[in-house]
Amino acid sequence: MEYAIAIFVGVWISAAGILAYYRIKKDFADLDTTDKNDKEGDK
Amino acid sequence: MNVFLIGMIISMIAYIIIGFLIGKGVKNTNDFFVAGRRAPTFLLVGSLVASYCGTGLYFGDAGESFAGIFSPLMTLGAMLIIGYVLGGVFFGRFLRRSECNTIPEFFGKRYNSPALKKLAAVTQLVTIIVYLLSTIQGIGTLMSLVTGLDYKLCIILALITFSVLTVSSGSKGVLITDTIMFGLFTIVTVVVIIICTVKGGGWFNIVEGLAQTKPEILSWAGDPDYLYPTGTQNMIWAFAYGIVWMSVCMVAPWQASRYLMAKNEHSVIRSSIWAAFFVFVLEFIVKCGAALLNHFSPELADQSHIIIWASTTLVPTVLGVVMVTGILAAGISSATTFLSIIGTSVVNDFLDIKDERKKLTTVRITVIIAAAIVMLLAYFNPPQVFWIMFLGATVVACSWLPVCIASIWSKRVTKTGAFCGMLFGFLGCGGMKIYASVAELDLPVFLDPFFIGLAANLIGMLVGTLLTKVTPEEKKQREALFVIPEAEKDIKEITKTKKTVLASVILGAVVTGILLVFWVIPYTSSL
Repeated sequence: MEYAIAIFVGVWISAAGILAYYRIKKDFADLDTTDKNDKEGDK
Repeated sequence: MNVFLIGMIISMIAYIIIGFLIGKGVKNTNDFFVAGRRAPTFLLVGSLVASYCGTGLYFGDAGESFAGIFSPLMTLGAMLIIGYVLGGVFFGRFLRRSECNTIPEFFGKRYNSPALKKLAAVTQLVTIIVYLLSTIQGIGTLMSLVTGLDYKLCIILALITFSVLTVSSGSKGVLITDTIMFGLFTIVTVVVIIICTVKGGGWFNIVEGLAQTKPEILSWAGDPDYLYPTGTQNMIWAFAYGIVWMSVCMVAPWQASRYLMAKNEHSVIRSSIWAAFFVFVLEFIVKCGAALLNHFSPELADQSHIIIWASTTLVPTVLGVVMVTGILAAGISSATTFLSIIGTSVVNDFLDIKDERKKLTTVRITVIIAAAIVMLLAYFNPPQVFWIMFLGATVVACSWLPVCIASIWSKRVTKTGAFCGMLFGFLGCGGMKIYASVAELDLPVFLDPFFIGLAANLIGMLVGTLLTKVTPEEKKQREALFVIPEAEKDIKEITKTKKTVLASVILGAVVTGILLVFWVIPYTSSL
């Protein structure tokens, strides 16, 4: 059971990290695209 | 004169001097309320961790871990850190974007509801005063224990210190002194616990020895004679309070309000990830360290004194003095945050003062009055650091969490829904707690005030929302929160922020690794 607790809390934290990462990625996705488009335009 | 008393007096004088020096730079209410909104990541990390880690950790959590519920408390301690990760990304940066001075002001603006603002401010004041009471009791206990001075005199000395610090420098001073204190108590805690375990024959030897002599101390179930009679009930309690404390780290006024001071939204997100890391380190080292101190079988008048006992008995005197001043710093840093929030909230959320100078004077008077009220409460109530701290946390979780999430992520929840949710959650949780105390009931774990309060909040929010409709103004305010400011669109900053958030995914593996290597494997292999 001690093993289960150690693994559970790790998965719990990583799951929150993944959720947060994809939210940030989604929110700034348009900006990344804009940046690439700007660079394409400059060329 | 007692060497611990000298150390404490020197540190308190140092904090007051720093407060006065910083106070010279406080020119207006913007400086006092939100530190000019210029705080970089490291100051936010320092303040987040220092506000979280008060005397509750060093007395309450350490004492309970020592006494028999290490495993439930460690589970809870690891679960709660996601409150920072989720809080920064899903709430804190939007709060910063609102450019409000307080979280109640944010609720009022978001839902276009002065009534909700007032209700949030009342719930905030009540929970902070409760939490501040726990902190001041911890500081009083610490000072009287190591110096031999009267407990009540110690409370007065401590209150004078953090009242002067808060009145002179406001949020700006609190941010800087919090960070200094965070550095001090983090480093000294790690060093002291390492020295204590070396003195006991080494970390792994102690774990293996306890597995043989007192297996219940490090067992997943905890001591069945302590909190609940079965391991399953202890773990249900741990999961419930893991969510309570996650809510605290996510939205509690003494945590989320730090984000209002950030220089930008990237600092909000990055500081939240770093805070998660440091809080886990402190949670692990204090709770596991306290449990391992069972190896020495100390005779204590109160289990909550275990870290103080170790600091005054097992380590060299100089280091013991630094440790004690470090714990004092943890308490003072939390208390200054609470007091500055009380002062800011009263002036910003209840009073309508236009004149800047009058506002500053009023906020300072409010801080002094709040300190006096807490002093009276602490004077007449016996120390119950752990349970009072848990009461404050539970009330915050029940009254604020669903409303905070809905304020950003729900298009449907109306101002009436938000108001009813917050009110019912507050009354449901507080009412259940008071009823259980007055009737002297031992409630089963599923009737814990947390479950009752959270259910009441969700029901209130649902009913209030079903009976009313979202107004155009509410819709407009929510849409405005999703417009990313131009200043935040720096590609370098975005990349750096993304990398930091990605590190939180790895943090999960690191936490599992630490628990396996330092607790689970040596313990289970020695049973």
